[in-house]
Amino acid sequence: MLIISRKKGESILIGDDIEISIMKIDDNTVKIGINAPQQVTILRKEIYEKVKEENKKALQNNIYTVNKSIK
Amino acid sequence: MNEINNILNFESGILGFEKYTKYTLKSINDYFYMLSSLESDDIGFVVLDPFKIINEYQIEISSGSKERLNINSPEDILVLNIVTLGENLESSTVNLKAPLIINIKNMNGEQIIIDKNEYEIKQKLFRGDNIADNF
Repeated sequence: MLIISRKKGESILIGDDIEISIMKIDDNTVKIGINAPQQVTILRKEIYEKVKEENKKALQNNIYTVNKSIK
Repeated sequence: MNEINNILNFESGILGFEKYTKYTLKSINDYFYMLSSLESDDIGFVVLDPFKIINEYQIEISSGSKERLNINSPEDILVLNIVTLGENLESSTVNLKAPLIINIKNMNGEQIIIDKNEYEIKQKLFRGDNIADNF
C-alpha cells in the first residue's frame, strides 16, 4: 500500500483519468472529491462488504428448504 | 418474466462469489426464482422480480454497467433481487440495495449497488397477508 500525506486542497492522480482531492478536514472526517470516468465504480467499502456478507447469508441451494420457507 | 432457459453469465460473479460465473434461473412460484450455479451444487440464491411486488423501485444503471453488459435499451434489462430466507416468509428479507441486472439479449449480468439510503440490504419481505401488499 502506498501512503501519502496530503493537505486540504491538494490532490492525488491515479492513472490518466482519476483525481482524488482533499476538500475538507475535520476531527475525524475527511471530505474528498473524486473525479473519475463514469464507467468507474466508486463505492463506500463498508457497503460493499455488507452486500458481500448478505449474499453469503442468502446462499441457498436446497430446494426443499426453500419450499418450506416460502410456503 | 418467463422462464429463462439460457445460461446467465456473471462475468465478475456475484459479490463474495466471484469464482462462480455461470447460472441457471428457474421459476419456483409466482414470486420467486432459483438462481443456481452451474459450477457448484452448493451455490444458489432465491431471487425475485422486484417490479412484481414493489410499486416504486427505481434503479439507475451506470454507464459502466451499460458498457460492460452491452445494454442498448431499457427493455433488455431484467432486474432481480436476492432473498435471504428465514424460517418462513415473515422472517425473510430481500436485498433492495444490491440488485442483479441482466441483459436478456446476451444473458450477461452483474450485481450493482445502489448508493441511496431508501433501499435496504435487509428489507422485510412480508408484512401483510399478501406478499404484494408489503412494499
